[in-house]
Amino acid sequence: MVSLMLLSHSRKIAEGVKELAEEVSGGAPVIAVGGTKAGTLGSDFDAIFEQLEAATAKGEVIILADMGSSLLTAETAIDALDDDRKANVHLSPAALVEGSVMAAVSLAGGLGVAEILEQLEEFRLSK
Amino acid sequence: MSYSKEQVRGLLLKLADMIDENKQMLTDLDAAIGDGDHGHNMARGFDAARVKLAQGPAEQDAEAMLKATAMALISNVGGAAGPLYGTLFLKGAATVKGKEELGLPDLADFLKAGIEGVQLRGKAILGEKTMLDVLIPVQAAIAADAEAGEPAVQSLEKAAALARACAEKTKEIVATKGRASYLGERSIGHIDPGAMSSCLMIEKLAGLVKGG
Repeated sequence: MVSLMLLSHSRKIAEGVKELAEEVSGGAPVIAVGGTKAGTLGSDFDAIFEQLEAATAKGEVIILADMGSSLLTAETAIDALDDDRKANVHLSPAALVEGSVMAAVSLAGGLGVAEILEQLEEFRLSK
Repeated sequence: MSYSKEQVRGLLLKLADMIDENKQMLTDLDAAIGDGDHGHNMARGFDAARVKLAQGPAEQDAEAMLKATAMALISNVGGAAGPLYGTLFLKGAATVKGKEELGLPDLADFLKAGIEGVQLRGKAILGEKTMLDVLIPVQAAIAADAEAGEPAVQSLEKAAALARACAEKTKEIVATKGRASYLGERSIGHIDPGAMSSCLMIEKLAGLVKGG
């Protein structure tokens, strides 16, 4: 199974993009993590790591993140995974909203991880 | 300088106090060119580190304490400084593994590995208005002094002055990394908050070593 994981500084953004991606795709598996433990804007390493562990137990994961600490925290969480799980995680540099919708639609349409990652290049941002 | 593991615990707790005392100043620097949370984020991370250090077993070695600090920063800072400083302490911690006493060469090794980790994580190099603009020159100076057998107190005193000069110099740099990069030229004239927090840590370390 392939999961899509969306990370944002804001819980509302993460959940809003999840809602959009799920609705447009008709139910691709989407995980959203946003904000800090305190509910403020930022990143929560523990929440990201926990979700990543659960998702990699089921298969591959494509991560899309908004910027700055979301990306750095995602990379740190990937580093903290067991070595055999790391290769199952793909951090995409695509724009969060557009990339997430495209990836969710492609995922629901049965495309493979490599194809989705290639499609996401279209929305690549320098973050 | 020869530091036992108990002294390392004391150093880390005093670094935490120092960050707490300076959190408003660091946040104000960040408000000018970033998102205005660096000091408070760092203080939250070091507060968590303080709790972890207090909970850890008394026989905990330096590596375990530095690792605990790293994980507390990664888990609790909430901003980009969490993964960056967390990585610095995590990669640095590995270099003190099994060591009972720490001296100037160990500090040079700690910083070298830590900086490599930060560079890998942040994809930044010297001269991009980041914490590396303080850490890289300071590490080089300390490593050279350690090689020459210079006493730690003198070496760190010079390192503290160098750290301050390097932090001040980030004013002249146009930011290309992090949130400050959105400001482009307008980031000139402002000290990078990460460079300043690194500078404060080196200064505090120098002060503590000098004070015995």
